[in-house]
Amino acid sequence: MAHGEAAVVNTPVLSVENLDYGFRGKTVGRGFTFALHENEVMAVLGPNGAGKTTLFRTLLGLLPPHAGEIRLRGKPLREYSQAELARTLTYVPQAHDSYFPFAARDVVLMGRTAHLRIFASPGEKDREIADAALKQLRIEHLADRPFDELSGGEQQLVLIARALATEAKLFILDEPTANLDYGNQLMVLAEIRRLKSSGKSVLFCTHHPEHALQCSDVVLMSRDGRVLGCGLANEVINQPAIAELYQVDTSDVWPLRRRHVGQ
Amino acid sequence: MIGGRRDLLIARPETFVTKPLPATLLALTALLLMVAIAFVVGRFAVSPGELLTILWAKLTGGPHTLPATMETVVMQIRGPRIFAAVLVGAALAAAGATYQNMFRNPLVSPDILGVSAGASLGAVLAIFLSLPVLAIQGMAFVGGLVAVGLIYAIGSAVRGRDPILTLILSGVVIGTLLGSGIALIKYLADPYNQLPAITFWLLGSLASIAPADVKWAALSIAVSLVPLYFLRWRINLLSLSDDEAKALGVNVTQLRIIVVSCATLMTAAAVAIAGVIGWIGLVIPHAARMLVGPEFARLLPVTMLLGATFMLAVDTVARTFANIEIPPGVLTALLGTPFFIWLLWRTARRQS
Repeated sequence: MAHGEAAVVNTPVLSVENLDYGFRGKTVGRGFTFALHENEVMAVLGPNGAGKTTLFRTLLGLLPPHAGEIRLRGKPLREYSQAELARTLTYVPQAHDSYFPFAARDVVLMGRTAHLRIFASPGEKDREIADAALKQLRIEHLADRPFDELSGGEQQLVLIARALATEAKLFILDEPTANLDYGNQLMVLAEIRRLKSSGKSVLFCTHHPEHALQCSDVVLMSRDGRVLGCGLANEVINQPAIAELYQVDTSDVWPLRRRHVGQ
Repeated sequence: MIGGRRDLLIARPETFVTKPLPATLLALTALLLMVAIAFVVGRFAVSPGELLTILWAKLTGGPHTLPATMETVVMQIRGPRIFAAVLVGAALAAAGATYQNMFRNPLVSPDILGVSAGASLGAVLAIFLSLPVLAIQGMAFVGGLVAVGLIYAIGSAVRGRDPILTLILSGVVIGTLLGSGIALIKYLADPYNQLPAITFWLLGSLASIAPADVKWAALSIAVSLVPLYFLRWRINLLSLSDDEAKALGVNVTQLRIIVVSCATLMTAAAVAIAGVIGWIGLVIPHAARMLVGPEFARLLPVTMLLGATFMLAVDTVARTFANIEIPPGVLTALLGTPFFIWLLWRTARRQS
């Protein structure tokens, strides 16, 4: 895998070796080996039911690995405390209706929790960081709006702002473009590129090879719990690979175009 | 004022998020006003001026020229009862807001979760065994905890497609089971002595409140409020999905145990002194959320103030409206049922 010169020198932000993962009593993915380097965007590409969400839950420390090793900045994942982990890697779930209409600013402030002692509430500094996160995503005007009244795209941006507020360097996004209309998909993809330029590393999963082409540097393709391929986006995403990944004839839609939105 | 009516129906942060303080002050004023009303109305008339004279004399330790009977009514009869009503209302409302956050569901309350039924069974059993008040409270706590634990266990074991429905249904079945336990104890109880006490108590009443019992309940409620106050920020995150809360650094299991114990202890303390008074835990947090939004640090004080005001209003009506005391549980149900139906209707309409 040619990740460029920097990769050779630096310890990967995230490295996964021979990982088997799954639920208790059921392994859904086997032999996953890949690395994500600083300032890199990796897309995990695969059909429904490929176990992408389960992989992410394992990487987040929510499910114990069945075998193999996960390292964050060289240190094994299991040696991280929960709060330390929350400050190191941050999770952006799919946009969803919240149960209570929290104001967007309060949702973003929740990202500060891992920096607070157990009995503490966010203080002035935390508010500033939350406001800066809203500003970075250019959604300050949404701060006082209730989360459940926002559009899917706006909700996704607020959740990304919450992740920014954790000050973690590694972002894990679970299908950030799912359930969004075309315009919002492009907006969220552009935001992922901007995360990279602000010094973050990003891991996200998607159903769409186009999205992987548009905003990732590296692609991991997985099907039926196995890695089919991993490498630079424009090298591994090709017609036979996509045809194999999704088990379809892709000749009608090929070629896909690589273009970076938001640049 | 196009938004006016809508604001009334659906809690909208444009109005509340930036200004939680006025709402809190409003609720505080309402409570103080209600306390004043509760002191002066009743079979024994006390004018506001006379009330102030007595209170001022009590505060400064000075003398007053009003009849001693009036002082007894204010200080010995109405005072403890008002204090108890405030306490019970605040505790039930705070517990309701906490459960709603924790179960990620604005439609749960101590009643629906079977906590009240569990606490009742514990308390009724204690009355049946002629145990002292402290034991009644202790058994109410254990009963409530067992009920909420059972319902939670069923909810997590039956990972169905609709967790809210599972939760509510298991609350209903556990509540029914506990109800038949109560029925059995009533059947076995001594019909001249214990049965009336149990029946009277199950209806809920503040009529025969004893200052000593109130002291214990006040202590339990204060003790369980402290962790809720200090954990107020993290309690917000319990309303996210478990994965989200954990990924944000919250020890979900530990936090949930602390928070459930506190809310259940509060409910049990309220049930132990006042009997079963439903609906407050469901209705009041909604009203508070409409005023200040769902953020727990802002929600908790307003919820407690409104709960106290509502309970005091209900109890005042209960003792003054008719020649006999109306059980306050009956009154809260009379007001709460239509509210709940309206809530269901509105939720269904918003989802469609």
